[in-house]
Amino acid sequence: MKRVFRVPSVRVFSVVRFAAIALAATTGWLLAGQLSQPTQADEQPAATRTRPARAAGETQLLAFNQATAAKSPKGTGAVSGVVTLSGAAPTLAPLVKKGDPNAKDAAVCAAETVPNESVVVGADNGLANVFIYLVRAPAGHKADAVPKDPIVFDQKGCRFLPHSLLVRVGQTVLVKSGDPIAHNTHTVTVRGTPFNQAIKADDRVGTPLIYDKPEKLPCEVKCDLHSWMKAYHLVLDHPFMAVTDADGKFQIAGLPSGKHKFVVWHEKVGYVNRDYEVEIKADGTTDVKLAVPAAKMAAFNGPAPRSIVVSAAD
Amino acid sequence: MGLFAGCGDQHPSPRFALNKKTLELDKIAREPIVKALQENFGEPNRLIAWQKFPFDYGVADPKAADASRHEAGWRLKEGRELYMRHCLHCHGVSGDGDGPTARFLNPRPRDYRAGVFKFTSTLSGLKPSHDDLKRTLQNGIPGTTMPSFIVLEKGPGNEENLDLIVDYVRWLSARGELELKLVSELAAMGGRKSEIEQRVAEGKKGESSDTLESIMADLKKSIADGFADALQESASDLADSWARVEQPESVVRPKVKRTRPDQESIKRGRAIFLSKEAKCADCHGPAGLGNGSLTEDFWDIPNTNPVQKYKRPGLHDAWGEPQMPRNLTSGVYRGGRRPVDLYRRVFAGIKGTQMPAFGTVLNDAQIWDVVNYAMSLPFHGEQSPYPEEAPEAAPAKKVASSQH
Ligand code: HEC
Ligand code: HEC
Repeated sequence: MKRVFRVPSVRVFSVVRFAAIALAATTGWLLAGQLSQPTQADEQPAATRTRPARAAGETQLLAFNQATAAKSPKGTGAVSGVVTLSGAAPTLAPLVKKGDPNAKDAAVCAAETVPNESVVVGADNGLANVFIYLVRAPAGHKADAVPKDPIVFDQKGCRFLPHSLLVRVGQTVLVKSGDPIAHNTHTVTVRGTPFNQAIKADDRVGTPLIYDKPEKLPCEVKCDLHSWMKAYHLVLDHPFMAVTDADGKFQIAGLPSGKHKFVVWHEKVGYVNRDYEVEIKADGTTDVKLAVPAAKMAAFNGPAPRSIVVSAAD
Repeated sequence: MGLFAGCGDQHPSPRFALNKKTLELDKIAREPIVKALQENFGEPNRLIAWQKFPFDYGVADPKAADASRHEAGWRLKEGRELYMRHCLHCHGVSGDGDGPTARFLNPRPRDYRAGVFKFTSTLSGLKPSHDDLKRTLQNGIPGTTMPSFIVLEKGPGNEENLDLIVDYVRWLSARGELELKLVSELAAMGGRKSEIEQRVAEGKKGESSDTLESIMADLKKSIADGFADALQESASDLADSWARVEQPESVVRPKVKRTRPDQESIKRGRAIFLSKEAKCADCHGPAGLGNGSLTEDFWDIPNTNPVQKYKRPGLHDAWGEPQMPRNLTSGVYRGGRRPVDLYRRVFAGIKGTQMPAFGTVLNDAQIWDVVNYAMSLPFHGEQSPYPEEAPEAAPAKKVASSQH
């Protein structure tokens, strides 16, 4: 029972390029060979995120940002701004109440309150965790290396830290845990290879997670052992991305001058704006203000409750 | 073409059905997908073999005794005939797991279009190898309605039959997954009907400057600018992911031999099973009955914004179907009952399910202990009667042993 063919290696396939469409006439068979894309080149680090350290996991992240948040090189510009929630912020019950004896793994997970981070509003109604990014690097952007330093993605008290993370394709994310129980980090990628690995208790070394493909939307990260745990990773093959800090502020530097269309995305709303156009001036910073109506947050809380008439009096 | 040999010739020619997700797109966004699928895959009785994928479609063999092999693509065609005869009624014409028999079955037949397969020898997150799928066909999936097809390769001239089916299944899977990838590309371009309606409504209320015309013009422009690249890129991704699993480094192979399943090992395995470090019991229950606490939790449907919850509590698989963790006391193993099969389930997790990969948490000795424990459960803690195994032969020449 021998197989007759051997599957050629990956390399062969990404090199093969033919555009011909041959027609095997008699059977009506078409054998179409098509071009494959050249492999993606690495690109330059630049922008990113200004966010005060709030928790253990984030100090590391901040270090990463400082390392890469280069000033805009000459001839390029930046966009900086603030996203606010217009209207009253919804009150969200915590995901796990401190001391709740019924919580799963209560000794660890209910040691502290686990807040619901799907809407986080800071000073002056600034809305945190809004992703602002270019889907593709702008034309003419010179590719360069992915940051060597790993980013830390941590979990503590059955909560992912940070809640939103910016990642480059090929960059190492070290998934750590400060909890004395197993967790599981499961990325729900659309394009890339998914990651679904159990994470050791108290893993301070970290299990490496490397995204192999850029995504169009921030990718959900969950834990299959704790149903409430959720975070978002934005994975791109270029540096032009940011996520708003606790006060809704963000900055992206190093952009070529001209008009750019940014995606503005929030987990509770989906697209806040899919084509947010900003004009970048060489050696300047464009300031922008975005407002998300609070109604959008409320409107998406699931279907409205219905009342059912159980018995009708005559 | 004698497609439905034995079923009469009155049938209208079969078509590949569109994915429901494709139908959620506006017509303008749907068109390029339909066209791309037509051009690169054809229809069941007009197959197109896209050379981009690492599948052996069959090179023309002008000297073959069998005249049908004189033309290129004969393997795919023969795979189709076999698939149509033996698999279609459960797995459907397009491999959507929705053949006429499917709705009576639990679990449901695999929908190949997600590109996810559960019982593999490969690392977490990766596709199955050719041999994994072939092993599934040889052994069937015990405990489900998926039968063994080992008889198909018996008899002279039939030796290659299962390979032919496997390649047809992989091709169908690639077709279906490419469609899904393109749907997400077009959704990202703003092609979803619901989103267009919402934007139009917001424009009417004066919340934005969008009008139906401006939205459609943008969409058409995005498609014109981006679709061709998206198609090539998505197909390349897929081709690479199918080629990658045939590389030796994608295969999970235990570094140490199975520990003897003696009482000591079983005891250690039980401790791991119940431990806070592995948490098998959270799903499988402390006694392995498949009734752990996580089967009572309510879960969000992944990647839904706004977030939606599953209607029912408990675990769900990648196809959105509710699912129970295995009752390990039953001794029925869907992915094969060789110890190395269970080792792989634990090391790499079960793809498309919530069971995570433990290769990062447990070392080889620990995995063997927990496997020994799991395999002892049907025997009430006695050592399992399976013989110790020689380590697997080199992967390329591996011939899966039949359990029948
Ligand atoms: C009677 C219905 C039935 C028939 C006929 C059938 N299958 Fe299946 N098949 C199933 C079911 C049910 C499952 C899902 C089992 C599970 O989820 O554990 C399945 C799963 C599979 C899988 C997935 C394995 C994995 O690792 O995830 C493959 C591949 C497959 N079938 C191929 C075939 C092929 C090829 C044929 C025809 C030669 C075929 N099946 C015929 C019912 C059927
Ligand atoms: C998050 C839940 C979860 C955890 C944790 C979990 N499992 Fe599972 N396990 C499942 C589910 C669900 C299935 C059934 C998958 C299927 O076939 O669709 C399963 C199936 C199995 C099977 C059957 C494989 C087969 O071929 O039929 C074994 C053995 C198993 N698990 C062992 C373990 C061990 C050992 C651990 C701990 C190291 C563990 N599981 C942890 C959910 C889990």
